[in-house]
Amino acid sequence: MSASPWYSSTADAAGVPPEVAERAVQWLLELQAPDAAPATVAAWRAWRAEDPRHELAWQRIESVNGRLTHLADPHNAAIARAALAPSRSHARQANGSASRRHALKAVLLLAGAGGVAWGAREYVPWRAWTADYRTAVGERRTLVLADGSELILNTDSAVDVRFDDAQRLVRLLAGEILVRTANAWSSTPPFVVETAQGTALALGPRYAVRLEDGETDVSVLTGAVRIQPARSAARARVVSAGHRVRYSASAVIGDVPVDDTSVAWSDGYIVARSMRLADFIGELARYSMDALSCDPDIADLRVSGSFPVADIGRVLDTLSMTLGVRIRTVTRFWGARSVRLVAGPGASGVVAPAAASSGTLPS
Amino acid sequence: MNSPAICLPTTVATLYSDHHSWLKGWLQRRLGNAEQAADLAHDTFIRLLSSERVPVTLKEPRAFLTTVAQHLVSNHWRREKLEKAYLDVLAQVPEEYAHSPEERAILLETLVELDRLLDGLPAIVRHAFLLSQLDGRTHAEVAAALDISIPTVKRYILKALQRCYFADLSVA
Repeated sequence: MSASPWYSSTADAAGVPPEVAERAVQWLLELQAPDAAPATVAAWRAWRAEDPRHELAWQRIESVNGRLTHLADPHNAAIARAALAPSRSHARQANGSASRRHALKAVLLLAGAGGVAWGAREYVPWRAWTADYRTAVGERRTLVLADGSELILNTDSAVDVRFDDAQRLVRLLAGEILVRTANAWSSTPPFVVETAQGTALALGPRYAVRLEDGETDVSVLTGAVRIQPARSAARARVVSAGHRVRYSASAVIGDVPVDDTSVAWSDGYIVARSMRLADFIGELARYSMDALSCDPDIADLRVSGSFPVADIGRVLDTLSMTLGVRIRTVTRFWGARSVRLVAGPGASGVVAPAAASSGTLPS
Repeated sequence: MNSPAICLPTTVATLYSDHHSWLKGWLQRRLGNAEQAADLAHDTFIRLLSSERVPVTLKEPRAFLTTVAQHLVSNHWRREKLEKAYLDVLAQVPEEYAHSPEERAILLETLVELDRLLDGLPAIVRHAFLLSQLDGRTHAEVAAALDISIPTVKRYILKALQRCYFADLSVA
């Protein structure tokens, strides 16, 4: 078997020992697994750093993946699959054209589903390098990217991932993500989260980005992040760990302290520290299919504790008991439900719910 | 068993002047098309010029030329076959997913290379690979579809991946 034009940028990987090449490919497969554990990613990083030949082998994999990016488009992948199916080696085995028809069905199905069917898949290896991901309301999802970086998508969120030689770009289209970038190698392209309002460039490994009301909200947890509003180059700002800022396309506004509790959602919790009930309900509503609201006269009650977002009914019951408010549920005839908290017989002060003691805070 | 014949040093130029017409005829018999034969004969010599694979002495220059040309012919056939399959698929894809000529060329190029790299793998290995990497099916789904075990699926996928990424290392 001769070399491939795909290898042109890492021609010297031909000097990689066969067992190293085999291991590299095994890593690739392990990292593709939908449930790849953080420990696996850490072990893979360590392997890369262990020996220059390991890194060389991995670079070969990345450079070939660079040649495969158009297969990232699900339509192209399906078309490729259909075209490759009836090859010579296949013709004998089964029925080539039947298998092509089958693959074609996938293309057409896809056309009808608008890509949703593919988005729902976690296991999209070659496409994964540039695939789009989204979560449903109430869903949370962890993605391990091509470079080992990790993205956790919060409820009702969507991202595009575009990696190339120049940058590792994650485009946040909706919702909220927590980023944990892989070891920044000097040769690794910069990691950037882009929104309509501008970019947040990782200068440290951990930060969260959230889209809300036409603004982008960045919480820097470790290291620092460089914010660049889209329409104002001069307004770029480096934000260090422990700060949370918001920005529009023209300016960075606001700066409040932040810590890990603001991303407790990544473990499935909302952590409230004497939060206004109205704000808390607004936050909780992001995870609920039902419309949630509260009456203005109880909006300023204070809520503290950690609440599991996977069980909204239980959270509401807790609020009802501890705050002494009532839950009024209205089901519309078309099936939509709305839940409103209203003043109860003996509305009281701060709630410290039972859920708080059982909740685990993120490390 | 050495032949007593004296072998003169061979250059691409002498090969060309001595055997170009013959090669064109040989190719035309295989391809049944004069124009394609001329193209591939041309490509054969281009390839020789750009590689250092011409032995200094050639006892069987025509056998050598046909080996190189045969490789180009099978590439040509593979490409033609794929292109046809590709166009067949495209013909059935809704308008809005039609590709520009550039996109077509790039995708076809990728397909040809992928097909070439996977060539020679057992059909079932290739099948497992395509189901997993292009269809995005899980190992369990591939195992069920091909009626093999999950460890076997993994082994097959690894084998094909090895081909794609490190074909030049000729790992088994």
